[in-house]
Amino acid sequence: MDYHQISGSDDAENVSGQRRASPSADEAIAMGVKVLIVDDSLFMRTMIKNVILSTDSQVVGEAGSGEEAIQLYGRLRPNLVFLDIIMPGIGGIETLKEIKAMNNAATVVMCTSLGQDRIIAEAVAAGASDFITKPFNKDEIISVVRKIGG
Amino acid sequence: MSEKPELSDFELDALRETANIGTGSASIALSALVGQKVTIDVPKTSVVPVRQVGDRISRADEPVIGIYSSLQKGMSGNILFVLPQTSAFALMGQLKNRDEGIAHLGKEEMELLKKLGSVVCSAYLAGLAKLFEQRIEFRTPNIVSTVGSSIVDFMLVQIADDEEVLLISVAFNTETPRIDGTFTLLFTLSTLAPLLEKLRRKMGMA
Repeated sequence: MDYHQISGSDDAENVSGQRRASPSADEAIAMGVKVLIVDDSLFMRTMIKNVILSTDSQVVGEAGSGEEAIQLYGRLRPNLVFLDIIMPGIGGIETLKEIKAMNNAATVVMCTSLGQDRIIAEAVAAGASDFITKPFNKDEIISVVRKIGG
Repeated sequence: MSEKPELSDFELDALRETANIGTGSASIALSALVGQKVTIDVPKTSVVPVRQVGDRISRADEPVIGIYSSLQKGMSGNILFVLPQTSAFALMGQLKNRDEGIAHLGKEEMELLKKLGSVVCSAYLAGLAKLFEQRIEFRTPNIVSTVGSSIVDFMLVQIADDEEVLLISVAFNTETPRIDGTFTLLFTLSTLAPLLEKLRRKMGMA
């Protein structure tokens, strides 16, 4: 799978491959929202990433599984996570719980498909901030990012 | 099992996700019609000569009901909704509020199944239309009662036997009553190119 490579240090590599130092809280606001995208479908990750890159926010990481998402969240501490509900291995709900255990204030938006109402209710109970339903359009993604960015 | 001649993993991933979205929409419509939760499987892709399509969708000798249509505007290809005959009986029983199901599909039942197929195909394509942000039109669906191996004889008469087609199938089921079936999108390799172009554009790669 084509993953964004994240270094083990406090520095992160952005999507264009340029390295940057971790920003301070004020810098993070000035630079927009730091987003982690989690979906087992590269197609979906790319779609979300392209929309976010058209704003002043940045994609700090991508994960193709729940396991990677948990690891990357701990390392990158993004402001916002787009998290697919259905994934092989550790699913979206379990991943959400792990992220919330690391940071109860984490903002996690679940990416769902039609017909997943029961799982959505479970995700909300586990602390999901919001959800968007596939196929989402550009405006829905931007609206979520703006809400987080204030 | 996926076969992928000339298609990259990235393209196959995009095609599977496309089928996921369509099936998600279709399953909601089906669920509303039968009043049951519909569970969908993971999409499977394969590239096969057209004569093998039936074997990939169901068992060759299994009696099935197929509701099929061709896409006319916005996308080229075919959509197929297949139910084993036993599932069609159970589905009809559910629609007619007969707990014991029914044992025969007459003209009235076939007409009802055709309408149901039209609704779910329409919902499937509505999901795709939203994904691609464009209108997709399809012909009024046809219905056929046959065995799995010969379903393509009805729906793909214009395609040569040895021409290869891409199938993206998603199986679904309900538990009570047990209804199994598949939604399949089918593209000849020549009609696939515009779809791949749309997907690349969607991902900002074209």
